[in-house]
Amino acid sequence: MSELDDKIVNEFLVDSYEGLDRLDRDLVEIESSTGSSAAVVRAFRTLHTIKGTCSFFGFRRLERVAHAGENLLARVRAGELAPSPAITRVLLAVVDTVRSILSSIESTRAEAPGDDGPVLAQIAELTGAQDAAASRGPAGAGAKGATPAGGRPVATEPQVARVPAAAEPADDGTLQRANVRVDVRVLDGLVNLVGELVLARNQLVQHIARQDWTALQTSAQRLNHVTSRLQEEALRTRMQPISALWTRLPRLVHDVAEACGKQVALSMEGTDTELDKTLVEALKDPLVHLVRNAVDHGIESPEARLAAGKPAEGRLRMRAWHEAGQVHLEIQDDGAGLPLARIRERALERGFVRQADADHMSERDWISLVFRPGFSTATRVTSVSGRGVGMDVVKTNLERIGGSIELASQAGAGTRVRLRIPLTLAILPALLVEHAGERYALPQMHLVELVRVSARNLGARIEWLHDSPVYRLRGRLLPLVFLSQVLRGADPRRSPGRGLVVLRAEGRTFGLVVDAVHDTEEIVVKPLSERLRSADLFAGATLLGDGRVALILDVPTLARVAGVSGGEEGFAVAAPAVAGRGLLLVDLCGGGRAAVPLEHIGRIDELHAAEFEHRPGGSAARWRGEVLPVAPLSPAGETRAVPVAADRLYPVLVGRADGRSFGWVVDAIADVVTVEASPAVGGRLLLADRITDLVELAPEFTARFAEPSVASREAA
Amino acid sequence: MSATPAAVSGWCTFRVAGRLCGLDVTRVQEVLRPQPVTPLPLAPPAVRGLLNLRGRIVPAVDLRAVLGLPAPEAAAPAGHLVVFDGDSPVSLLVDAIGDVRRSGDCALVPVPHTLEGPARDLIAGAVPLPDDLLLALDLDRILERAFAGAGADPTTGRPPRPAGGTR
Repeated sequence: MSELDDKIVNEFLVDSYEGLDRLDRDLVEIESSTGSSAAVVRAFRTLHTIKGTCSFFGFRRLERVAHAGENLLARVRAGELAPSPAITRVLLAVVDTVRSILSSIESTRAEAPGDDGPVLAQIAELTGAQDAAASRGPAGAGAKGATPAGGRPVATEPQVARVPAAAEPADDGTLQRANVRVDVRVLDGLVNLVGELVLARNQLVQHIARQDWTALQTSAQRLNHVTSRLQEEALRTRMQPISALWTRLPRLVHDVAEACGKQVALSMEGTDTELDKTLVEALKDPLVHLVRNAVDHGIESPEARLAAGKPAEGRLRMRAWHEAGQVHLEIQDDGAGLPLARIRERALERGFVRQADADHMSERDWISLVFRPGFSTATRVTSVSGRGVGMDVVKTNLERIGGSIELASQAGAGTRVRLRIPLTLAILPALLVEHAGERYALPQMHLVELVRVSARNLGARIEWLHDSPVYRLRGRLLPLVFLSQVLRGADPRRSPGRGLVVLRAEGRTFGLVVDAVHDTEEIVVKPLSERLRSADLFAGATLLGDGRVALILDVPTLARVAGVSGGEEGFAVAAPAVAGRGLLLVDLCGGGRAAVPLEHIGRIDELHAAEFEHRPGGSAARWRGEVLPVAPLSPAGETRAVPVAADRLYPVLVGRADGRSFGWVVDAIADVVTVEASPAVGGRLLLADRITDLVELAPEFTARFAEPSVASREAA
Repeated sequence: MSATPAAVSGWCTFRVAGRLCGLDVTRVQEVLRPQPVTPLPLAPPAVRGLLNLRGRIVPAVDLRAVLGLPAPEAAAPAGHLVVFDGDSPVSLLVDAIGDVRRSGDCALVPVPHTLEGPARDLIAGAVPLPDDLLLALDLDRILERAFAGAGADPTTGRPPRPAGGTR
């Protein structure tokens, strides 16, 4: 095959793969909406295009299959046949056959020999005898004899067996991954910008020749401006709507639901939400897994649903949106929810949780067990149908791309999975730290907090438990990793370093000791050379403002290489009521003193009184690009009015609950104290000679306030 | 692929530890003055670090270390020879950069048996020039040798722990 032909065939393959994905979706729609004529027409056109092109290339087998499918669709379109599950099933079989032939063309440039008899025979069966002679292959007659009842020649058995295959993203070749469709307008914009860049360069050269200082400055500014816009636009070419990721889901839901004997209606919102192409690829598998889980384990059988007073058809809702520079993806089902009792039982039985800790654990803690590696395997081995088979893999995959996953469940009402994914991997906010005179970048998504200890004190405050260095952080023991030891094998006891950064990766929290902590910066990630790729400790490199190269540390590998153990998810060190906890002392608006445990505060900001906007439902302020509901902090949880009169800044404690932020307004921040003993009496303590209310600003407390305002935001 | 004498139209020459060496000129992208190099911890010893080549991040390989020659007395090497490693550039640190020598008039001869040491199989041959003897280096083997060990997995490739490490 000549190079030109090769190119054309490749284009045909890319087009066809896309067409097939669309076809999957349309066919499922045809079945569910009993004959949406638009979907039928679209499906017909797609098959017709494939048929036309392959007859041009001389792919006879492909042409025959596509033609037969087209015939069947033509009948549906003309209203001679009513859409039915049988027809959908056969048409989906056609799509699968076409897809397998295409992948053989992609790898060998020729159609693989194969028997399409059964598929053709089924179509003949449905369209009626007159067409059968034309389209039926030699094997068709035999197949017809073997299938007595009209329209169901394929037994359910093979259908079930095919489900995983349809879910496997590996079934289409590499071509689809290597090609990106770019909006022509984006391309035009790019070319224009490159034109401007050339212009700016020319001016710069001229001005340098003339040594015109002011003009030079203008050109440099212009160059700067064009470059940043070019960078932005170039990144946009990598952006894809999330529908590219979702296009397979209707088919997947259809197949899994059929295999499990369930009825599921899938709805998708926010299909045009864009994210980076590489992330689309990385999300494919986790998403398939989560959707299968939702249908398989989440949604109950029609009988069970009816018995529970729910409609027989389960609902699966996918939502995607941009928020705070991230892509949010939500998968919500209205099934039975997570079997918490069973998780609890299993966790205790398998020794994941000690009985003593079990009493302290919140529902959230129990749910988070689903992500523990061994845990999910255990449930599978005993064939308990709890969620969590491979959830640890999903979580790991997500963390690898800098995302996070959150599970919420309500018994009888359903489960909600929320994924948070960065927009792109190419640029990321990072904290720069220093070691041995070189700067290293730490991706900010792993950053928990910076601990400020004076250089002299750090060495003294590091304690050694059986050769494991730990640091006491608000009553918890934080395992430490020394960058000097990891990178150079230096002895940390001799020169411990001067800065402490708390990081979190793979469910572990640990402290990294570095020489110095610098600022945060948005860095452009550049991959390391192919030859050095296996240096796993570095996720890549970046260029700093002064042109120097800085390495990006891969935090999960750092945790693994250094062998950080312990400090596992949350409850390893169960904190008693107050002792040993860091408390923030605040003066309340309207008088009084309160103490808030530091671990419940995500951030402290200052907002001016004029920034609070007051609505009947509550007050809110614009904060870091989102709407932050605010209320004055009050120990009893009663509602007080946000101060309006004063012309001054108010400290706002930002807490999070259910992934939403909530701001607590206080009059002033007084102090941070650590209480050794626990003199709390009825929620009150004596601190600094003042009676102080202890406010447990835990997520549950915040959630009570966060809810109504969120509802109003969604309604808006 | 080793440099076949017939295919080489010219040699880009440079000096390493006093020896005149040459590389197929078509494999050389450019020559740079000394650049700041960011060290790359845990990399093979010959990899001195990374440098910024107009926005691309390029590994810098110390040719002396690859050839098993002693470290120079002087502080910094005199130049970087940026070569093609497939599509991605790699920078070689050398002592001094020389001219490009056409090879039309000078044929490649086998390496003398007397030449020994670890560098033996990194040399494709010798080119007798009127005034000097040029050692033609086999770039692919050099790069292979330089990056050998980069494939170790991080758990075994980690630095030795001091006695009584973190465990």
